[in-house]
Amino acid sequence: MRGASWWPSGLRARMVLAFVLVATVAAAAASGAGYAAARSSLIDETQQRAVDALRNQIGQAAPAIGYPPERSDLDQLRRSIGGDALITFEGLTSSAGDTLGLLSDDIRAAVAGGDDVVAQRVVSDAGPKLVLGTPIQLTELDGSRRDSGVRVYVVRDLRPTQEQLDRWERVVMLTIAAALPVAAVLALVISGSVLRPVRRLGQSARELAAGNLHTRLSPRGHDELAELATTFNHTAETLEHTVGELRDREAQARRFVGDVSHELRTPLTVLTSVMEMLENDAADRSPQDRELTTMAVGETRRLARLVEDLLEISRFDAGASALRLEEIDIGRAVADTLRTRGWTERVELTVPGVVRARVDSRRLDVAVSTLVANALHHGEPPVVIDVRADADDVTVSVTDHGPGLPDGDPDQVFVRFYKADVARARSDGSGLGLSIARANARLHGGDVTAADVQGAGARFVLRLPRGLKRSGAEGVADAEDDEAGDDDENR
Amino acid sequence: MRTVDRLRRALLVVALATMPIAGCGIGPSVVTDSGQAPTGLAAGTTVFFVDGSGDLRPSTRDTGRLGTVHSAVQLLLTGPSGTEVDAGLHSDLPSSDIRSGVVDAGDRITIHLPFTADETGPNGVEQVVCTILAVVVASGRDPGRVRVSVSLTDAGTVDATCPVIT
Repeated sequence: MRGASWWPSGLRARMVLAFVLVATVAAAAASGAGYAAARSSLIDETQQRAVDALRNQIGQAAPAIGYPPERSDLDQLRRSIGGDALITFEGLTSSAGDTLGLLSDDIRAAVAGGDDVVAQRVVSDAGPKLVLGTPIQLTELDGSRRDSGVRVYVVRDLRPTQEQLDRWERVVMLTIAAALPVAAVLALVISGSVLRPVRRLGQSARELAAGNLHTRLSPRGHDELAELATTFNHTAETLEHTVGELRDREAQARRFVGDVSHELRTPLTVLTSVMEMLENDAADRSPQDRELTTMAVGETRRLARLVEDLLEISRFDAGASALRLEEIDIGRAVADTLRTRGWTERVELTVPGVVRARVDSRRLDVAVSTLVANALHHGEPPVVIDVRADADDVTVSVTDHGPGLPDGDPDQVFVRFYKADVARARSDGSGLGLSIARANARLHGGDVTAADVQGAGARFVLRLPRGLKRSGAEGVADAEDDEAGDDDENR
Repeated sequence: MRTVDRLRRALLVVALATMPIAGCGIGPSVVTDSGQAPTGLAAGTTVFFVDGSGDLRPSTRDTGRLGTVHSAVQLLLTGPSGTEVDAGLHSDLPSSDIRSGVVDAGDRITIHLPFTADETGPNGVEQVVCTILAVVVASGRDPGRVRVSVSLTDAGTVDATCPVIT
């Protein structure tokens, strides 16, 4: 079936077409067989009736006919028989009717050589005719028969029979024609009832794929489709159970990380204070002690930051992070971030003017500082920060001039505890910074993306939705400027 | 384009399916036998008389045609002709001008004879029955399927048979 161009591709259309074809063939076969049987029996019966009638007519008339017959006897017999008829006896002939030309040589030979009534259907311009021929026999007292020499031929019109057959044929055609729409309607109804569960199954599968694991079907009956629905339900149930279990375990694991971080925070705070005290006291110790003390303090601080980051991450994972939106000037906020970290001298900041947006300033600070720290640590100066805005979004792109991103998927740098270089594993960062920066951006509905820039190093772009209602010409003008700037850059 | 093509092929399938029906009216045929030829012609009528030893003898009257049961019985009742008498034949039936009544109902022929039982000789009734059955045979009917009843003026109707034609 596949590959036949006329075969429709839709399941419903296929079913309807198949139905109609089957119905047509079945109706045609049944009607055709019935018609053929009825036709042949009608013809046989008509023929037999004509033969019987002829035999009776001759049998009735013959005892009154003189034998050997004279011309007048033949005429009398012919009149008794009626219709188009030809009667011969040796040289004598009596005939009437203009259809006697239909008498074939075959039938004459059969009559001359036999002792039976013979029949032949012929079709002429005047329609179908039945030609009958028979000898008349003499019967002796002992029942033996011999030929009398009298031959009778008659031509009977079959037009009434033909008309009867024509009427039947019309009925048959009408039956077949009537079967088509009925079959089509039936097919539509049945295909609907068959396809509805299939469609429902597809819909449920889509819902399942979309994450709605509670989707279930209500199987009806005991057919294959019901079985399929039951299997589907079973699958969905197993899936829901498994996914639920996995979620539970993941939640447990994350809770554990959060709990551990939380538990570590207090002792670490104490430890940090103690270490700082020790550092202060180390001024009068040997240089070796001072160095060790400094190292211990650094590592303790790093540990404290790692715990803070872990706590932050687990808050993100738990969905417990809340946005505290306020409308601020992004350019100023970025400048503040640089200033408080003491990076102002090391970073070039380009701000187009006042760029207002509704963001969480703490999270913006975290994200920007992470990106800049990352650029300063892994890239080479100059580090360039470019703040841009269009009607909907504000972007802060941080570009360094270092070696660029590691090979492979640029997004891998956002993976937690991702280490670009094993040799530089001991960096200042916790390994969670970029991941937290991205989580912060996404919490806003924005994102952080990374890419290499031709002629520079890596570029990290923080995009945040401005969250402003579009009003005033200033925003629109900004947007147009920005687009032009972007275009230039892309070339 | 494809839809048109598809439609045409579908129509072709339907046409093929319905083709066996279309165009079968009455066609010509070869010559076929349709049973026994009719009979009923005869050069004369056979009547039965009795010979010297009391046996039934057929005698054909040159009537030129078979005639009916009734006409055959009338011929019988006129008695033997001169040549038949010369041949030693006689009739056990009295000669009579009174017409007999014959009812030919196909499978049953009833004849009312204008005689009493005494008037008919030993073979009289058989003469009548045989003459009737001779006509029955010559006209193509099966004598075994035809019952002949004879009614005499002083007796009821009785079934009778012919010893030479059964």
